[in-house]
Amino acid sequence: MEEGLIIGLDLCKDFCRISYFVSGQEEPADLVFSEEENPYVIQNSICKKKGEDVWLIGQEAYETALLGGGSIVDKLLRLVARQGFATFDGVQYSAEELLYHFLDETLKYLYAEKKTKTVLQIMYSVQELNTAVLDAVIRCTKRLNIERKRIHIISHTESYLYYVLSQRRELWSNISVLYDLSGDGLNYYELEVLRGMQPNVARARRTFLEEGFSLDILDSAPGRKMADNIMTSCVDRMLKKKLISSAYLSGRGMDSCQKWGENFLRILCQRRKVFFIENIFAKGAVYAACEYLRETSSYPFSIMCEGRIDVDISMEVTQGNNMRVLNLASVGNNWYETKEDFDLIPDQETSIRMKVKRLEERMPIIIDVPLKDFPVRPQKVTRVNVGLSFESEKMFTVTIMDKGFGEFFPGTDKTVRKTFTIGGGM
Amino acid sequence: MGRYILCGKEAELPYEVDELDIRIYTIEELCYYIYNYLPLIGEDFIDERLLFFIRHELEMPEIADKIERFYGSRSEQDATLQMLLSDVGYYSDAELQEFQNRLVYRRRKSSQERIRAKADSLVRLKRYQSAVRCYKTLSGNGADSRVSRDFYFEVQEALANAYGHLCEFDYALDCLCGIYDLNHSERILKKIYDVCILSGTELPKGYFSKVPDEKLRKWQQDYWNRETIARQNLDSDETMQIFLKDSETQKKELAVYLDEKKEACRGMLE
Repeated sequence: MEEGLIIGLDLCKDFCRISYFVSGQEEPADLVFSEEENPYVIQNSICKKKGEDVWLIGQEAYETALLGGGSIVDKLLRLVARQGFATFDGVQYSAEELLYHFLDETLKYLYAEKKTKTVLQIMYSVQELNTAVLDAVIRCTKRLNIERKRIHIISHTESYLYYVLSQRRELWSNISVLYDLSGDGLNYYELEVLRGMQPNVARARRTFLEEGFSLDILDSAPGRKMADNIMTSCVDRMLKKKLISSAYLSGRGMDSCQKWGENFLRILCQRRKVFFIENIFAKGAVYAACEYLRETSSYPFSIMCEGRIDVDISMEVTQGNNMRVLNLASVGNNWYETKEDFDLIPDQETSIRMKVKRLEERMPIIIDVPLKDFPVRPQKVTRVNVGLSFESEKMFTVTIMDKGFGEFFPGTDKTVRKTFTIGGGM
Repeated sequence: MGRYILCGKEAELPYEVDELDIRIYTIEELCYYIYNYLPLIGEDFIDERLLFFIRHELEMPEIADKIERFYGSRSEQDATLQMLLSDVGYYSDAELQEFQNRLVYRRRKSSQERIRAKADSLVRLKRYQSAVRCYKTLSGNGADSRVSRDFYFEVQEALANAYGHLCEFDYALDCLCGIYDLNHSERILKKIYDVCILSGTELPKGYFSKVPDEKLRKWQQDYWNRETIARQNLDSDETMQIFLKDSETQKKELAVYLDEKKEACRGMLE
């Protein structure tokens, strides 16, 4: 394997964490940002020093701003999602520009620690796959001189899945669960391996629990008692009839759960293996990133989770004198990275037809995109560019553009676009 | 039943077809050119330039190798073209059969007839300067013993026609006079008369002395009639249509039109 860093970066709304792998390590290591209370966490805040081209992040940003040394923007990812702006020293910066400086400064910690800037893979783990955020993250990372092929993004759910599947088999032979309690609320994750399919399917789901509470209540004794009651009732209700192989706890709220969750932990630990993992999503992202460096997958599963699609999309085409099936998307593909772009010449066809087959359905559905208002030409002299991309795991768009036929029949760039919702409205 | 042909790579550096003044970017366009412009394809079509284009620009080394092997062992261009079209799969079996029939028909022709067919095709495509070059290779400096007299006359007449399209009336007259000197055809003499009126040239001395005045008046009337029809047809002429469009479109399309004409002139000078 090449020498360099394999980075998992858990990019939450308010903070981020980094785990990394370098050759020779058995487990991903967590990056320590400071010697403070939460050494593995850095707040998503950025400050520009007054009158200087110096950017500060995390705690340093807060301190500088408090001393009047500059303006600060916190909850940076929310600003990126809104595609907002902020003004420093009278200059307006886009949220994406700030994100670029934030990622640059964040990665400098790791580069300094490991004394290398060679990045083999960087895998971001985000809670919500918001297209505006994902696009901005990719663009910013590319500006940091990391090639596009080395940059990937997955959901927290998928990071969790990779983390668990990288552990001993006995920890995921039945159901594995995770309670993540952070400032964003309480999220419950569940992973199970569906056997009997070819290949077996590893399915993970996330549920946002309405019972979630603010971490501030943990500051008082009655609050801690209430938190214990809430979590006890959650565990009791959700896990009672399930065969659980392992349970994980993560998030800022859980790092002190031994102080406030006596009953909750007692019930959770009954005949179950329970782990508190500091950087579970960042670590999971590192395991997922390693997949891109292997020739064959270490996980003999089809993966289904938030961020992954559950359909096969294909087309029958001729190549040379052979008929073949062109697979455009497959069950388990990451929707954000599933993008197809190819050219076809329809021969005696006035539309583009594709087959869409959902995992749980036996028969495929045929979708049709008519080449409406395309220029009328003789047969076989209209080359079209077909693009397929996903807006989410449940929605995809087919774009078809007229390219004409070289200089014999110049293209018009006439484009038709049709969006399909998987499982409805197709 | 319909189908979708999956396209190959588009070339960055195209294959240039001088005769058509067109650039080819894909294997499908190459097949289209071979199939539809067969008369333009000379004996030297399969060469290093074509193989380089297929191998490196289209990234189809297997096809390039196959052509090289096949053509190298048999030197049969027609069979190689047939094989290329068949391997690419752009044309159906029925279309390939039709192409083969055209190849057989073409093979029956002499090399001069093939060049003549190429030149005629170029005239139909309004590539007059290329057509002139082709016709000239057949006519050389005079009647050649290798071709029949009638064939030579036909070629010279077609050459005069091509010169006429390029407004090179002196050359057109030279060709027509050359024919008349040999065959004394009244039809050719009338053409000489037409060209002189069209270009405002004096009638060449000695040619019309024996033509009765009444016949000359009839020819003149005939010319005017045709000119009137031609002027009426101009209204539907593509070039004239440009002037009916808005100023922005007019500017763009005129630029393209002028570029084409300049290209044609440059072709003449080469």
